[in-house]
Amino acid sequence: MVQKFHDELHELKNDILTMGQLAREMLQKATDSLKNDDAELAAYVQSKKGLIATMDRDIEAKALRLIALYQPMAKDMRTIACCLKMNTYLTRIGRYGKDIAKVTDELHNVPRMKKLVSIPHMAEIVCGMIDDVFNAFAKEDISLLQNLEERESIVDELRYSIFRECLTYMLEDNKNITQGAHYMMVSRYLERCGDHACKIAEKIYYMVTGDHIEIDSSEKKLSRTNLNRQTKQGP
Amino acid sequence: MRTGSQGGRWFSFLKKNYREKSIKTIFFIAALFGVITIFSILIFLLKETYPLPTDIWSFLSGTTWSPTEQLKFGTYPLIVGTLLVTFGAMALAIPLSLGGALFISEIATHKLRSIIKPAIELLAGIPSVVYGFFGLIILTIWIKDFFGVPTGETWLAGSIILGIMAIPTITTVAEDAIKAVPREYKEGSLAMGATKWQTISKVVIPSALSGITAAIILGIGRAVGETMAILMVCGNAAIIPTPLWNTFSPIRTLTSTLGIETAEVPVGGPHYHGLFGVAVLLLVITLIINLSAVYLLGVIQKKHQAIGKKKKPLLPMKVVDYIKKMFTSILLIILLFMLYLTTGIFITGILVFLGLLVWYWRKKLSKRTLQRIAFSTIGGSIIIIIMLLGIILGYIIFNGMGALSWEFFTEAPRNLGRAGGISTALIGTLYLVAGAIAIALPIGVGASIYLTEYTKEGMMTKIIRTGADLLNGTPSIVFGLFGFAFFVLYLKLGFSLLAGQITLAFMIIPTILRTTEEALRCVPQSIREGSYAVGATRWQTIRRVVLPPAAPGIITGAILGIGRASGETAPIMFTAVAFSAIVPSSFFEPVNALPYHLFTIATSIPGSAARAAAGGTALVLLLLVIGFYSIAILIRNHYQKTMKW
Amino acid sequence: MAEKEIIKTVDVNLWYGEKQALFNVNMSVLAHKITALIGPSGCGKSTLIRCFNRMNDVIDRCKITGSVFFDGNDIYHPDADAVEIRKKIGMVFQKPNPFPKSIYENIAYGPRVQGNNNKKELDIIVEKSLRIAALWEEVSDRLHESAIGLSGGQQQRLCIARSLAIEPEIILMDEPCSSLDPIATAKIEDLMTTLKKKYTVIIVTHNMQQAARVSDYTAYMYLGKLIEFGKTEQIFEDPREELTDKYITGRFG
Repeated sequence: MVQKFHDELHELKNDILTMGQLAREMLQKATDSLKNDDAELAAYVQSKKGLIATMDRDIEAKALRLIALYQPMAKDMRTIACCLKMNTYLTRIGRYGKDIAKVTDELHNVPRMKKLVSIPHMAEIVCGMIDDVFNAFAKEDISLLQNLEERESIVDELRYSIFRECLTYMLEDNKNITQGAHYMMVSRYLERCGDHACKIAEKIYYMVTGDHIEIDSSEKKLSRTNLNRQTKQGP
Repeated sequence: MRTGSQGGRWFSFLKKNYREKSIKTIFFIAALFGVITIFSILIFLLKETYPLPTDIWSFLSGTTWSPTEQLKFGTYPLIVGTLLVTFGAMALAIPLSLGGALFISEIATHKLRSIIKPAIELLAGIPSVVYGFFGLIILTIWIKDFFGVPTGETWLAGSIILGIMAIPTITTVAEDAIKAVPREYKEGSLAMGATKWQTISKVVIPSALSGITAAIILGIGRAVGETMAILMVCGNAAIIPTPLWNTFSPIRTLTSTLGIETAEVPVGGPHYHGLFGVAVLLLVITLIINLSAVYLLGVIQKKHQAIGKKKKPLLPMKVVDYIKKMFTSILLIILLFMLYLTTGIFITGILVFLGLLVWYWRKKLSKRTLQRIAFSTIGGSIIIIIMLLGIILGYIIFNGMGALSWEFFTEAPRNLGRAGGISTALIGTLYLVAGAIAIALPIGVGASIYLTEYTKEGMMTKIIRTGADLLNGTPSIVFGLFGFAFFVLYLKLGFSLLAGQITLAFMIIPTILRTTEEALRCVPQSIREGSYAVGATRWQTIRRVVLPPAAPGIITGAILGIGRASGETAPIMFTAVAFSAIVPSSFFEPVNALPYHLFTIATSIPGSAARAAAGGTALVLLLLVIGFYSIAILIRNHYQKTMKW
Repeated sequence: MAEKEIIKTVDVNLWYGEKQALFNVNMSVLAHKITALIGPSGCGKSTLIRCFNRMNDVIDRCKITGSVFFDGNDIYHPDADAVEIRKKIGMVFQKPNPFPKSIYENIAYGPRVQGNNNKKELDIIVEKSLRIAALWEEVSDRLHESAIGLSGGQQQRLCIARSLAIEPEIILMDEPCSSLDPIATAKIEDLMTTLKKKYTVIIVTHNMQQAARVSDYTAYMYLGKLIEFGKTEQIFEDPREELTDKYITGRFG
């Protein structure tokens, strides 16, 4: 393959990493802004919406161009496919960050019904998942994806616990309903981000090995080996 | 409107290569000379024919040729003589040559081919006077004894010798044609389960048919143009044999007529014009033969390259097939007839019987058996060829070896050649050939470079090429006649070294022109474009990129020309030679030369001492010419290996 | 950065004998850019590129009208010397055509022909040209062996080095990769990107992806006419002419 192609592919991966950093940053900062009721930080996060969209378009254009011009094969092709999918997921993560920042605006100067503990904890875990996933992407090392399922299940648990907690507070006092509803939404967003991180991990696994796996911590979870056999048999 | 000059940068584009222009002019002059030689011969010959001593019809059909006694100029017996001798020669040469060609190209192993092919190419160079010598000394005596006829100088002797002479020519050209059949045709046939012989007979030979026919035609040309050997073995009576198939009758051809009568003819008289008429007749016959060969070779090119427009064939396929069948059967009948005449009814009868047997049973015999029969026939023909040529060579070598000594090479002949050596002849030959090459090489190579590299392909170049081809096939006796009439008489040079050198030069210029052109054309056009693209001028391109790879081909052609010039008798017989000449001190004195020395001793001087001297001369001449040809072939083969495009 | 026009054709028409091959071609080529000529077989792109260094002069019965301006000077002016022009505008052909000489002599041919026979200078030129053509490492130990012994891809890079040795301003490439395998093609594409910095490159190619990968500007030709010319991204993503669009999307050609 032409050297130019390899250079451009490397650039594409770096672009994804940059976008990923931005998305993670948005998520982290949004949660911080919610915790500390920091309107300025929230405004900052929301201002990055345009940047994420631009990055999305640019990365997609780059990836399509690479496919059209160079007809990549094997791992190169899987890498580009992975980048295209990651592109979408990262945009979603960034937008969730933005949404959380909006909640900050909505709840600005509203006295908190309780000190936020679980939500920041959730955010920490999810950001940790995103970090690990990106590490795996940059190093192309799937061993770093190992305990995602556990953390995903913790995130799920946290969402349920926040849900129940908010219900309690909302039942206690009508004035808490708005807050509570928002918190439930935020926890939902964070859980979705965790899901996206898992999806990204699946794509990275595919990029490196060429096999498909499913990282799923729901009750209907099947063992990983079963899944592998299933996907291999095919239609 | 085009813009004008604009200072420094523009100036660098202006033409400033006077050197290029002058070099182009030099080559143009060479080309001009080349063209002049080609056409002056033709024009002069035509001119001197006028006025013909009789009208054209009686010239061609009159049955008596007796120019001095009866003032009758009927060339009919001469024409018949030429035809009969040629037929007989072809009857012998065609089957043997085809078998030989098939053997070399299809059956011989690589090692065998590398020995036999060059050997046969070499044999194409044996001078005709050497063949004639052998024919005179051995063949005519053998015919006289074996058949019990009063003399061996007969039509039969002429045909046999001529046939043997034609074999190398036909074999090499036919072998080239067979080799040129694309490998894919053969592979396609073999892949379907055909035996090798079936492939050869049904695929290879039909594809190569044009080339094989061209080879045969060239062989016919060689036979028609032969003078010296015929002179020495045919008896030279200008009669039509009675009955027509009496092969033991003496006979005379057009060429031997010229050979005998030119030296004594009074200039400007009716006999003089009559002889030129004969020369022109020869030229016309040669022209027809050459044009058909060229046309046929052009047909193969188009067939194998799949180019050219799709033309409607002149005749429908069925008619063409019919003509082909008729032609083959007529040829077969003639061949059988000649066979009968030469070997008698018994052998012919056996061969015909065997042939019919095989033909009838061919469907019943297995493919393998048929192949074995075919291959052994082919093997037989190559063995016969080798035997014939071996006998001749062997005789010349062994017979002449005894006469060779230091004195033989260094002393002048004494006592009409019976004693002494051949030094004057040897030196004379070297002078003649050196002079001929000094003239012919610059003109031939220069003209060729001009025509190939400096001009675009057009009517002019085609005409020049056809003219060169025509002269290439012209009998050397015609050159002799031209040299005599033009240089000796018209330019008043007399019998001189110079006249001989120029005549020989004229004879080999067309050869050098064509071989050089072939060598230059082998260099692919993409190489020239690569050179131009880097900013080289035309002369730089020619000198640095075209000539080096073409050089071996050019040199080979030159050496072949030298070889031919050394062995030819007819061109020098009426222009330069005197038997008793000493080493000349000026260009205007006559010389002795090896071929002429041999001819004179063998035909005019009796006695065993003369015989021995003749034998020695023949051997020396043979070694000289074969030596040149070997060098040429070695050079060509060496460079063919290293040059791959 | 202002882009300099280095070649400009004005109303160029060309005939091979009776047949017209180019119809009123008006085109500009910009310096230090790679310009690609694309189009179906027989559209005239090779014919056009051969006009730029007057290589069509070599062909019988070729007639041309109109002007081709190189840096403002018409190369078809009656006083113009084709030999000098070819020293400034070099060419690489479709089928590699190294001379039957050594590798060294192939490259030294151009300078020698211009009068430079100084061994030291030639050594430098040969090494420099081979380095730019990314061939030096592969042949530095066998410079005096025959060039015919090289592989197809190496031969083509040799021909590129040969044309670089005379320091032209423009390099014309007539389908340089069409007789090469994919790896050799990739090496030459890499090379073209390097060449762009110092030279102007005009390349004829029938491989659209190659044109899109490598060039800055693209010209689309059809049946001897210039249909569209513009920046490569624009031609391939959003061509203006319908004919161009049809060719690029593979509807025909």
